Amino acid sequence: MNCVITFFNHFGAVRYKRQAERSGWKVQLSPVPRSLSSSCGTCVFCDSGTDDPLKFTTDEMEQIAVEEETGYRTVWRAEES
Amino acid sequence: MKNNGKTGIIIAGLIIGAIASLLVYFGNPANMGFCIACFIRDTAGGLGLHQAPPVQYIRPEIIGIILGSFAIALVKGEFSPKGGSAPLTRFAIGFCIMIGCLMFLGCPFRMIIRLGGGDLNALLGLAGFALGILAGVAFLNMGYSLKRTYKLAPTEGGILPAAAVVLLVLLIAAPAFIHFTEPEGGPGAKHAAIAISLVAGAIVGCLAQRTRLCMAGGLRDVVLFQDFRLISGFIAIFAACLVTNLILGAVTGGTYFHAPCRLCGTGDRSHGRSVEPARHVCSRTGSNPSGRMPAASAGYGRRRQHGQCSDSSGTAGRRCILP
Repeated sequence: MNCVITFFNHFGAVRYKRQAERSGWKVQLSPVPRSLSSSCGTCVFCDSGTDDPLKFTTDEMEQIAVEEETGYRTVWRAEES
Repeated sequence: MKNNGKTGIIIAGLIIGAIASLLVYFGNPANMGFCIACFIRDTAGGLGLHQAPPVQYIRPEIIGIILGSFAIALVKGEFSPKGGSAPLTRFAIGFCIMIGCLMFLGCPFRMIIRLGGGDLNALLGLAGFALGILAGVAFLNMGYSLKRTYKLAPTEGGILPAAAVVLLVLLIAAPAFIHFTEPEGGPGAKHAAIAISLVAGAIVGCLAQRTRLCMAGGLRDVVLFQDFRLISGFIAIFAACLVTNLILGAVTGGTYFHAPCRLCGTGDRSHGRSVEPARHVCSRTGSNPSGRMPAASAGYGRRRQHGQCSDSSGTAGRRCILP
């Protein structure tokens, strides 16, 4: 699954990237796209293959979105975010 | 992999840079057309939260930024108050940042405006700022975190805009308990008309909200991701300031490139006209570091006028310590 994951803090993104890389996923840290958030945080662009990106769910994850032609569509969002 | 374009933020930076220089033309202090830290300091002084007479004025630019960004967030459906993430730590860090900004002559925004005005002191500030960002990035990568935020009620997010409206009313109504720097009494006495400042602030607030313009974030993105989107906005601000200063200098015959006061870092020019060094009043000491204190200058004059200073010597360069 190709997706972009945003986090409540920078270290959450770093930690997720390390875990995902150990599983052989293609991941890249990046600034959060403006269309996804007005906050200038750090996100992870992720290709998890057939795995569910929620495999490494942490309290620091804010949302998971997939890229479509018209922009991003949020497919998961943390509670109270 | 999606990559946001830079065009929008560069255009926003050009507009904001031009606004910062034009505010000097309309009356704001030179090289301080738009400084968030300085304007918050002035606003605190205007409310009587500090007693430094040269820097007391409720700055409409701050009000405009809050209301402009609030309005555009509402319109775009992005008004989403959040909080609850290490509030005391954030307060303490903000406290230290503000002291640093005021000690070293301005916020990151003003640092760029200074560079656009030919003040190379800001290069040292830029170097220190970059080192600070690098230290911050190291902390982030080692796991430092202020933990997550939580969604708050809309009323929480509405408090600051409401406070901004109250400040605007106080500025316009000017009741007796609101402080204003006396004419020629220092940077606080130099300001554009309220409407001009308010509109300028609102435009900057709207553009900043839409583009996420952020100097610290820009340097962080360059270091961490080799992403130049955010920093390109500040490069555009610098370019726009420089060009606007040159144009204003050519058109008005004045100069928009100044040599700062060796004590407070501010100059004493208005509308591009150079003012004799003797007429400059240091915003830190209320005195004149050139060694000549004009009798009508506000540092001593205002204090005497208010009966708060019994030192009638007017000795140049001395700071009144009498109650």
